[in-house]
Amino acid sequence: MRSLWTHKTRSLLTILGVVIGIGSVLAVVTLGASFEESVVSQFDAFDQRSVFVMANDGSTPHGPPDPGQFGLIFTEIDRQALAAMSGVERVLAEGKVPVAGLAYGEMESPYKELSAVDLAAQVLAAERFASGGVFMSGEEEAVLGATVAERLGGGTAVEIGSEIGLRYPDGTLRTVTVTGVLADQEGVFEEADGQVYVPLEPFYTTMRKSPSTAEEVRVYSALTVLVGDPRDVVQVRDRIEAHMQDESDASRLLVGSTEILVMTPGDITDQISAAFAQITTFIGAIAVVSLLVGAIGIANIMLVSVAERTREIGVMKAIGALDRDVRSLFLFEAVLVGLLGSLLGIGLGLGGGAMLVRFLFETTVTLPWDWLVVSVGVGVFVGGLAGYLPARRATKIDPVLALARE
Amino acid sequence: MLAVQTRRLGKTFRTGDLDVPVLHEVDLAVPRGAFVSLMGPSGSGKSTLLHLVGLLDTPTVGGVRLMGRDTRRLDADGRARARRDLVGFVFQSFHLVPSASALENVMLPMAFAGVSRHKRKKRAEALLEEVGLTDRVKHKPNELSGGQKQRVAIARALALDPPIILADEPTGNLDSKTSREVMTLFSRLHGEGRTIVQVTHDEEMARYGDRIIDIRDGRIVQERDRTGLVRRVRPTAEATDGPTTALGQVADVRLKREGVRP
Ligand SMILES: Nc1ncnc2c1ncn2[C@@H]1O[C@H](COP(=O)(O)OP(=O)(O)OP(=O)(O)O)[C@@H](O)[C@H]1O
Ligand SMILES: [Mg+2]
Repeated sequence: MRSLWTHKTRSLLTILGVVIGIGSVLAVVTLGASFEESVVSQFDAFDQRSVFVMANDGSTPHGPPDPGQFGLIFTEIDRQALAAMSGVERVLAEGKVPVAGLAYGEMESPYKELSAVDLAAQVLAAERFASGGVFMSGEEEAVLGATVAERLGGGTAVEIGSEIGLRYPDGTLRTVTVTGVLADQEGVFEEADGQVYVPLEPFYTTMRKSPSTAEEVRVYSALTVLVGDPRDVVQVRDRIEAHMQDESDASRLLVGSTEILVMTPGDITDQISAAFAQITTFIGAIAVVSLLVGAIGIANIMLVSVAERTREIGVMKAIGALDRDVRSLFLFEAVLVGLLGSLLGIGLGLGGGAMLVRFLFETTVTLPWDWLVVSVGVGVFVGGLAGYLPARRATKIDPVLALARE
Repeated sequence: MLAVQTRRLGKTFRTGDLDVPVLHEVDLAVPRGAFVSLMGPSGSGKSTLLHLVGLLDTPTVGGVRLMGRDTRRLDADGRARARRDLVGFVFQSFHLVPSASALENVMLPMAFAGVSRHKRKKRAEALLEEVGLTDRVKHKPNELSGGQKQRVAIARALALDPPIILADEPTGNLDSKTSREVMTLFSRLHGEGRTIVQVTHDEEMARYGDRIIDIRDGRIVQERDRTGLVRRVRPTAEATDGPTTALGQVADVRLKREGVRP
């Protein structure tokens, strides 16, 4: 034990492998856990009865949904078909309304597209409002994201009840009343900050020819299905999935590598977990190498320590130490080194992970508790493994020869 | 009962292809409570004999009985246990653990024997007091004089209250005044009923024992008492300058002291 302290630098260098191995894994795991937790906590605000139907560019299976023009495939026919399914309470649609700019007072600034949603109360849950509340379907009203509201207001958010102008690409101006401003959003919902929400009625007019009825009908970029009973969510999701993939207008409007995604909030978090699990596996492989190097380092330093203390070991045997006393002495020391390495690694990994979380996602840090326990275990295990051979060698020392050494 | 008894003890070291016979058919018998000094020229095998008796080493032939217990069939652990419980070692170069304080050094054997920390500390303190080092408890070995170090080593040897103390040239590194102090300490332990076997080159120190055994070329050549009275002579092919008697036969012959000196 004491020799650990008398050779501080040596011990520190030795445990570097363990520190790096455990630190890198923990950093990634912290990142993953925090991201996942931030997503999950956002979904808590959503109705857990939701099933999301959207289009995704198939080339980026784990990327964010792409509601661009490739995704404008969910027709009013599809929406009604889903609404008629058993277990489904209601189907909410959303789409983009292209505009050229936004006007407030004398000021007019360029703006690309509005988000048209129906039943705003469901999507824009009440607690997400910084001020005001939802708009009414059919009214000339809007809800502003935090950033938009602030930018329009020139530093302070636009007041509730004030009027803003929507400049259409053809030059026409439409005036709406602001009924609410959203609170600053975090993580995956951050994009809401830059949105201007308007009711589908009367703002959304994008039409497409339905492959099934040959009529011009409204077409949306995403649908949100509300299931009546939360316990049915998975079942309903499977039914929706089957319908969407085989019989829907959307399946016939698909182009290129775009694919239809039918997901519950749980599916989304599962996907994020899977993505992070992949990264973790990759980093884990590197960590294993690092731990191996660390173990060899510890073993080496312990062998040196055994050699240096040959005489001391001889003395201990002469004054009554059994082999197992000698063995556990060195095993204990090695385990301690491993433990120290893992603790330092945990500190470094958590610190680094937390910094990355702050920097990348701007969400709160979630501690991966299970991984902390695993890390401590790995440190102890690596130490024990590395200490085995040196400890064995220590027990094999002949006390007579050891005592004869000067 | 004999504290130490060896039967035809032999030890041959093997260095490379060469066999180096060091001890030959040593029959050593140390009664309980005896204080025996082993003397002999350098290389005659005294340390080797002491190591065999203390179960630090294994004989090539023959066996050792400690406190009546045959140790021949013991495995490494059994020998370590017997050593721990029956023998206390004292060395010429003290062999204290340098990083540990005097107190911790004395506590160490008790840790191996599973004595509780509290008891270890109390006993170690009492032992250090017994050897007159109450004020050096916290000192590290390099902060102690040779005599003090040896007294710590003796306290450590006594830690588990072993019946037998084996000391290999305990005064070899000490001046004559300190040597006498250590021997006085040994005499006291002897007086308390402990069995002591010491190796020494110093006739004066040897005579603190109640018996002196002379060893030459790996054989016991004679035993004498403090006054020089020869109690037992073992003639050998190599060392037969003393009176010749049959092997193992007891002969009370007064010898000139010079004649048996190494
Ligand atoms: N491990 C060993 N390998 C080979 N030879 C050894 C070994 N240990 C001791 N010897 C030899 O055995 C002989 C006796 O050694 P031992 O140390 O017992 O002598 P000693 O009587 O204690 O001598 P001294 O008075 O110098 O301490 C010596 O010739 C020594 O070289
Ligand atoms: Mg010797």
